[in-house]
Amino acid sequence: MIPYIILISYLLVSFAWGLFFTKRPENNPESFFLSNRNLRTVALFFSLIATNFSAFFFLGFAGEAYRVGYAYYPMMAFGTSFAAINFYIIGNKAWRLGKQKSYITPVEMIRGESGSVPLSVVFMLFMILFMLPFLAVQSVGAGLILENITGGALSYAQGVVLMTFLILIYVIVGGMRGIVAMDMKNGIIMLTLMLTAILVLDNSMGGISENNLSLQEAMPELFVVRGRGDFFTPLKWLSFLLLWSACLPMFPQIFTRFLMGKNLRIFKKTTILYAFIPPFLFIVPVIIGVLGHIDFAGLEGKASDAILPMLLGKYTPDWFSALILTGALAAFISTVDSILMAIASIGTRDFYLQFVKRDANHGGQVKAARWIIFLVAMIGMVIALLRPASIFSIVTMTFSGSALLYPIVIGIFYLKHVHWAWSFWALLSGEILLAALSFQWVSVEWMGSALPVLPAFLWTFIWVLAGEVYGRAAERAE
Amino acid sequence: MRNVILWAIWFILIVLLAVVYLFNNDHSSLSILGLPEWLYYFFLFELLFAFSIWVFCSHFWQDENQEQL
Repeated sequence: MIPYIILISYLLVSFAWGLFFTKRPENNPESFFLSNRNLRTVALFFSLIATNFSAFFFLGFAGEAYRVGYAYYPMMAFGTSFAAINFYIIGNKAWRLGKQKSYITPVEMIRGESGSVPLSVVFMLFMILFMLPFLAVQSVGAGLILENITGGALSYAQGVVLMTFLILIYVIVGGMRGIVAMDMKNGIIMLTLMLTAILVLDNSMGGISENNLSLQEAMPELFVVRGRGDFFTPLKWLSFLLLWSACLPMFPQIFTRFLMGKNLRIFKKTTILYAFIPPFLFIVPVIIGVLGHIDFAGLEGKASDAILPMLLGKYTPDWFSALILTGALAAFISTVDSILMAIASIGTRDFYLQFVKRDANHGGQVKAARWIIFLVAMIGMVIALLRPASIFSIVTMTFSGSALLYPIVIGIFYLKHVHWAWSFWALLSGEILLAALSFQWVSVEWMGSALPVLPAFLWTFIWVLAGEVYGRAAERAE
Repeated sequence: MRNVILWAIWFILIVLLAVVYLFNNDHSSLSILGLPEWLYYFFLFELLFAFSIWVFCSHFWQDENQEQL
């Protein structure tokens, strides 16, 4: 009974917070999509953290550590910290351009700065296409968490539908203001609960040190720097470093955050704070995942993603287990609402306003955005309900696809001589190369242990640089 | 621009140092909390990394960008 009370209390407080304690957005796109660009450091920081750390932080992260060992920590922490530098390089410029030219979406910025509609359309298609599987995976996570907390009383499908509609209500009513208010609350909840989980598990499992000592004797491969089964080679490690740092700023929900700070000082402080979080925080789910071997040896594949709930179930009372899992729910909610809003802003400003109703007024745009939010949420829900077996591997590939947008943005922001046709070709050919390498349509032996994203990223960047060199030469010739 | 290039070289050196040193040395002995010793080296590298980002954001890039705009 207590787990239900915790769950219902969390949901009630959350949605009351999002609906009733937040100032309503004004009826214009800047307010609805960007919360009037007036976030201060704490709000922007927690919004960035909560949006970025998805349900994967709670469930998948420990699962990966279970499979790979402690080697998973440096790979994830370095990559995520490294993203901060790209947040600043891109976000700094994006914030200035957004303020000067009133850009609201990344696609709008690409169109405005490159002067090309075709490039912006391809950019938009890839940006949105790659986000849909990620959105669906979040809903899959929510369905599983609710099923777990309620002990099966709420089925997976019921959980997915319930969470989708609850989120829809406050996103549609509260706009970005409601989302930021929820992000702050959820960010604090998820960080606190993750730290609480490790402290309580440490106590009930008999101490992290003692468990690590005995585990190292039994399974020394979990403690080596290359990971279990030589999982990480330097090349693979560098691939992951590149993947995380380039794809994170290209997620539309993260890019949108670059435009929401009140001034550049606030954005700078947020970026610096962000860089310090992963080294301290990411060790927690990794320890939980590795120590999972003590009580639950031999889990295969995705079964290990449930290692945190399994440990909590064994060592802590039901109410505590439910409490920690609401943290996972908080992580899920704060990622999904931001994805919905980011896709809706692109759908409204870069599709509806460009190709459907060019003369739509501010109120009309907000109305269209609400319908798009509904539509996208339904698509995510249907994919989650169908739950194709390959969804997780598709998500991994879409992250790589998002990373290829990074060289295009750098080219447009900082290399002033690249004609849009070069960027267009670079992106399209890069994505085709990525698909060819990922699905092994071509030989991949020459890559060694590198991930497909590494050659595809270099290919895309080289074409952008070639465009810059050609553009400069052409300008000199004139 | 010179500052940014110098910073980039410093940054790449940290990453390469982390990769080369840690992948070529055996640090399998356990340290505080029973965590592997190499994990603490990585932690230190990451702090250095984060401080470098701080320096970059606070001094180099901002000036550079202001010049461009």
